[in-house]
Amino acid sequence: MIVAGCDVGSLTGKAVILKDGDILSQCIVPTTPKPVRTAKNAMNGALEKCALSLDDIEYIVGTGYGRVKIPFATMETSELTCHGKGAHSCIPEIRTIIDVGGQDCKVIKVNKDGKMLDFAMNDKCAAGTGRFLEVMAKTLELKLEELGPISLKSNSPAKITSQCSVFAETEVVSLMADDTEVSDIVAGIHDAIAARIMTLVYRVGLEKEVVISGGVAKNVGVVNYLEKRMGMKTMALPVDPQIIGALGAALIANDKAKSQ
Amino acid sequence: MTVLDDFTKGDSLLNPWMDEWKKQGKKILGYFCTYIPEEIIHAADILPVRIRAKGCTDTPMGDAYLSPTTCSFTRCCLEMANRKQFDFLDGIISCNSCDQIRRLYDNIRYKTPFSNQYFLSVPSNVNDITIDFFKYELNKFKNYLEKTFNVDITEEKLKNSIELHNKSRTLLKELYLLRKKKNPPITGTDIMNILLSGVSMPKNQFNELLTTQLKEIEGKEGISDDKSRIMLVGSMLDDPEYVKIIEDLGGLIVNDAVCIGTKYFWEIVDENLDPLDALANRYLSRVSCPRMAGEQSKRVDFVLNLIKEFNVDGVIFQRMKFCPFWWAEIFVLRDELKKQGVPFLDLEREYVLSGAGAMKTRVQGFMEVLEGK
Repeated sequence: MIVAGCDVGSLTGKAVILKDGDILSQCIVPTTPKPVRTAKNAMNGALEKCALSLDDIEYIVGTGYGRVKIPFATMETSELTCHGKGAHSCIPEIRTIIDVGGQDCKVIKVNKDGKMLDFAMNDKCAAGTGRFLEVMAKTLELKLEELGPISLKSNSPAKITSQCSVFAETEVVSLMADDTEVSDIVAGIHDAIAARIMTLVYRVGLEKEVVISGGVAKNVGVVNYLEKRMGMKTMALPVDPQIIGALGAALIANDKAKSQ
Repeated sequence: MTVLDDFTKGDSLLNPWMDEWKKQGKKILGYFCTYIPEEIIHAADILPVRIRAKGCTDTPMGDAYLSPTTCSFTRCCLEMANRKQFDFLDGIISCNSCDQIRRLYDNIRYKTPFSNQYFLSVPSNVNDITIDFFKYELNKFKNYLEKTFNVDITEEKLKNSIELHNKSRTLLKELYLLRKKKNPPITGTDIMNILLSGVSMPKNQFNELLTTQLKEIEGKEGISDDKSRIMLVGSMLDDPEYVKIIEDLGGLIVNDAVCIGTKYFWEIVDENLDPLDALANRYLSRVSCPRMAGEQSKRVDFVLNLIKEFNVDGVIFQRMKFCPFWWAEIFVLRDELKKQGVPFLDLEREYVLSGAGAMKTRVQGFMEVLEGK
């Protein structure tokens, strides 16, 4: 049985194809202004990798911001449920999932069966998300993937107090003007993100084990500062943390196809 | 054409009922808060209309005069006042609901004054002394209306007005109680339109419509395709579209604790007391808004009771950005609901509906939590 999940997020589109519950292929593409195109790009990418066509897929679940616009999806589910299910399928001990995506950040609590019990999401603000890191990397003339490792070099992270990504950028600019070490600024940015995410962690409550999913999970700096603030280690996902939403969607598709 | 079509006319700044009222040469006064007794205004043969900022899309003036960190309802109101959108009113009545509404009044009075405006002082705690004080304030307000509009507000007129408003409250409560049914005969979106009409048309006409409405839905088959029964709690909300987003995702609203809803009509005024005594008593002792000090546990109990009585599956908190009263209130309510095992969703919003996509994700996620229970 071949099924798929397609997650159209704010910065990237993701697709995962499963065969009998195991990952056959996966694909991550940048988001285009049209969700339909993003979805098609991601799906075609994943199909190409396993030399299949859309007709071979029995059931497709769409998720993410563009979920209602995915033309080939059989049904749609919120990315909250998908992230819960995706992460839990990788590590069954997981009870808390912290997903840091392009413009959203969410903390999801699941039970032992991976069922979502509660969640909290950021309010209308991009601070503490991937978009925030992108803006900061640009301001500091660094590559996005350089940020995490540089932040770990700092011994005294700069204080960035602003709750808003636009004003945080202003703070960063003044730190730059004061000749603050770049690594300290970058560390400060990561700690500020961790602080924002903690607000959501406090709302939902922290239960072991914890994983971080989403594109920002690939940033060692955010993971490090978040673990420090939580006072515990997170578990490493055995798959690319960015595809967890699409994986969850594909797993739901698998369940649906089975019960058909 | 059903009565509900009539009620949707209430979701606008001006409506046919107000036009008709004005054609008779009668006055309309806008008021800001559920703590201002409509009864006294009505007894002066003036139509009390709740001020809304319906139609406001952006707030450049509101932001400039009130700062972008005040709640968007007050900024929208100031914008509307500055753009002369409230000129159909013969005056405004405000009170110290919260600091933001209070300063909105100051700002309107300074920048775009109405020919008639009045500020009612409402105590923020409840005891014999504050109720006495409030009676004194209500009497002052009555005198103001009598003098300004050259009318005589007799005890009889006040009593009739109380009776009329109590009738409204009783009918609304009857309507709400129908939602206790397993399959409620009416949606929260329709209820919102009814409530909005109630605060923007003459009460006798409203009561007639509402009576017909009740008869119409009495034997009606209820709504059964909903996924969950939701209670809506939080800041000032007067947007049927907002409620509809939740209901379109399967969350049927079965009751609420918002100021235009239960807080407005749940308790009646004692018809056996001296009218001003009765009004002072009822308005201060009713299930309170978070502006009132020392009443929090009563408000929590009110919400918990309604959850039980109406068999609520989950609560949606909607808090207006920069509404400190509700933010703090929701923090306590969240804790209490956790203790009771009642799922809830906490949504931030602005007065003008925006970011519907983000709201849908959260509501859909919440529906999925409730379905899994």
